[in-house]
Amino acid sequence: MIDYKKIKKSLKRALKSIEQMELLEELMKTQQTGQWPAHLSPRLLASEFSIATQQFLQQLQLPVPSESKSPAPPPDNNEPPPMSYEEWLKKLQMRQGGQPATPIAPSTAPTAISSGAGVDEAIRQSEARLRTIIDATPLGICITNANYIFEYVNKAYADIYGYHPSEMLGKPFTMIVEPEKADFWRDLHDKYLAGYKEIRGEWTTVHKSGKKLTILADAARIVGADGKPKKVTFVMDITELTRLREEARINEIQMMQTEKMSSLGQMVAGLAHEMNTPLGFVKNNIEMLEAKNKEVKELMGMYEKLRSQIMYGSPNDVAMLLSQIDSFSQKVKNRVWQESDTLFRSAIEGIDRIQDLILSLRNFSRLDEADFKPTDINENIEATLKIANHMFKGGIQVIKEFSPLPMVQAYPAQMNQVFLNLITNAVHAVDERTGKIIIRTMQQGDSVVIKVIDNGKGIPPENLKKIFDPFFTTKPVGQGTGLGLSIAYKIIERHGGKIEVQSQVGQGTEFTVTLPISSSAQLSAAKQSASVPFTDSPFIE
Amino acid sequence: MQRLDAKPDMLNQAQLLFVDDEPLMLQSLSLLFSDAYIVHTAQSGAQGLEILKRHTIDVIVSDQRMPQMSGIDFLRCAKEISPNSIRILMTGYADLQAIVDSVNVGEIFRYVYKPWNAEKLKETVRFACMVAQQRRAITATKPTSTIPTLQQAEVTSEFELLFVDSNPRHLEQFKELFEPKYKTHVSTQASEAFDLIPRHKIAVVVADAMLEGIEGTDFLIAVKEKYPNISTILLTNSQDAKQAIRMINEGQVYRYLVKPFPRESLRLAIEAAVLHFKVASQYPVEHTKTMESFFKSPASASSSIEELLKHLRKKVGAGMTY
Repeated sequence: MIDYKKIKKSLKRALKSIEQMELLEELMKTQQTGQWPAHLSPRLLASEFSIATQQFLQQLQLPVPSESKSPAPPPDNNEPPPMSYEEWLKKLQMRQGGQPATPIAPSTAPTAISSGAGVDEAIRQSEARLRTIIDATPLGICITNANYIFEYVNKAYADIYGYHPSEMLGKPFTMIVEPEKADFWRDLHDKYLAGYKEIRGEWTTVHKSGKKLTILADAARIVGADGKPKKVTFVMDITELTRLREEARINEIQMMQTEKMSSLGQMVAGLAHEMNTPLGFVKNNIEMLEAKNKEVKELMGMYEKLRSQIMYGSPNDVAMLLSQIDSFSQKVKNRVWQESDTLFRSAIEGIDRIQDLILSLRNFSRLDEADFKPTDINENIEATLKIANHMFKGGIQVIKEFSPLPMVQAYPAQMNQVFLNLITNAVHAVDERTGKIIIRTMQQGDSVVIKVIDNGKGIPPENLKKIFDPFFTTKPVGQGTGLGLSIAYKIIERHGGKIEVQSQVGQGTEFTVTLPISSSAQLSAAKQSASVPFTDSPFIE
Repeated sequence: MQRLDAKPDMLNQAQLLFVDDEPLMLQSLSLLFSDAYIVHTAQSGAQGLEILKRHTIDVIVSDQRMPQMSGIDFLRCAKEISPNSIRILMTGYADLQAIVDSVNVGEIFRYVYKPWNAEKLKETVRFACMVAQQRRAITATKPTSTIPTLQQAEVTSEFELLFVDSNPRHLEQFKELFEPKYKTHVSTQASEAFDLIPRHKIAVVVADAMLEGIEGTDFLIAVKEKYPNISTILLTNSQDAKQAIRMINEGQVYRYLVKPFPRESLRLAIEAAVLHFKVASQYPVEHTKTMESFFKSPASASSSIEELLKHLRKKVGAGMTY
């Protein structure tokens, strides 16, 4: 799961440091009217980026005497001819110990830095400082020209890919992409320089060792002194970050699975008992009636025999058989026979009860329905209450205060999981005998509001803010995963709604779930964030 | 299945009490037994206790999941009001905690699943009635006060304990805990332990559920089969309800301890088990398993644990267990 808030925060921080960087550039421009592009505004980010920007800031806050001495170029005629961007680049590379980039076009700018040693010194210092900053940042920076050649790479950029800067300079940038995608990348590069493609996003590139890297990239178009467009790319290696994120996502799935299994286990326990009790007496009744049926058949056989005895037998035989029949029918007419009607009736009632339970189980699980659909929240709560019914056995009073509700776009099975969790929590909070749980639904504007109110023991304030945290539980080990509410929170959040709690120790607790009636927009956004972003390149087109 | 030769007149007197919060269940059960027994029914534990005070009940069959008072709580109270009644717990779902409690708290005779097998239930109830009536006959001739209670009983070191655990370090700890009060034998091998029993005055056998080459459950069931007076205690860390039910229904286990447990629990269990053994040796009917082996075909004269187990497995295969 990506923490967008955190990213936003560090993005702001990054922007600030970038603004400072721009300031520095401005300073440079006052000293050398080169063509450092004014529109260069890298925006780049990942949660780790804040650390890098901190370093930036620290560096930038160092006192810089040469700049403060001469904020503007001296007005006299000693002013040196402006240094072109290319010259600046060359200098930078030379100091880096790398090869000078192959110039794409002959430099048109004058190269002489003839006079003004002090100014030259200032430039040198300021350049050195910029270079230090650029090299100190973990942000990889490279400049590529229209021929796909690296004209500049900083140390971090080379480090990301496992090369020395000198190994990269002057080479085509396709050395760091998957060979089979080289054409795609060249095309992208062309289009970017032509101004109609975005680069920002996550990409897969290749390390020197052949290992695949996931990078976060942003780019800017600049115009070189040769008047040709070039691309400045800012890169951050987020391979590890991506792995961690994926791990976290899998953990979350497993967590949800654990909770589901745990609540399912409790449900099965309750339901098994609810079903096995009627099953017990239904089976027993039928077995008793079956035995009785056999006896009645036997008795019928005896009457058949009696009939032939009357026709052909002696009066003595008839009398004997009659007395046999009498004593046997005494045995047949025991209490089971007397109450056979009731036994049948009870058996049918038991079967009805089992059928009802199975139906409510099906309603609850919603396995036979499409995932995301217009959902009747009242109906869902009803189904959940049926499943939870066994928990109220001790005398807990459940009061339903349902108002007519419009259909809500939702995952019914997930909604049921939330309701079951809130109801279960309420049951655990209240006294077995005097407990009262109110379930209230209502429409408020374009939202549906569901309240689960109990008169239980309440939640102390110090726990109240932790109840939605994963693994927070006050139940003994093994009796609760501590995940129920955190998952309920996630589910409601995913539906674009919110879940709130109010509690007073000794008085009770009130959970309020607010769901937007049409949450499809939020949901699809949430859906995107739940799945892995950027598996390919969603930012193209 | 071998039939018990019960005297009909004896069983005609027998009184049963069924406790379940479901009236249709009570109706069904009472009709199943109405021909041969006097049947009482109660819809709650409290009602059941009232009936126990007014009638001489031989066998109590109680549901576990009931509002207000659970089956186990009811059976614990029932044990105090009517100690001679045989207690059977019935349930629609085997919740491990409930099973363990039913052994340790309710000291139940059998654990029966809903829905039940009518023939087996009838057999169990009939057998339980005989045990109850025998028990009552003996306690009637001897004042109950002569049967020592846990508080009165002086447990002396004439009783010896046997611990079986595949981990020698656990055995050392057990030895440390109970010596010198009891002479304590230990073994890591079930067969070695089994041969050790006849050579000493063993009152209690404690076995871990995981032994080498044999399940602790099987071992204790075999011990019980051959030496019905000995009290058995199973130590387990598994959450296996099936195993627990087998221990009750086949092994008449005296205590079932789920690891890890406080030392005190084991100490209390041993003390109670020693007393149980003492009573069982003096008054055999106090011990239901003793009675059972008396009524049923004697366990084969075979002395080795392997043969005994084979015999037991045959019994299981023949469907003589739940």
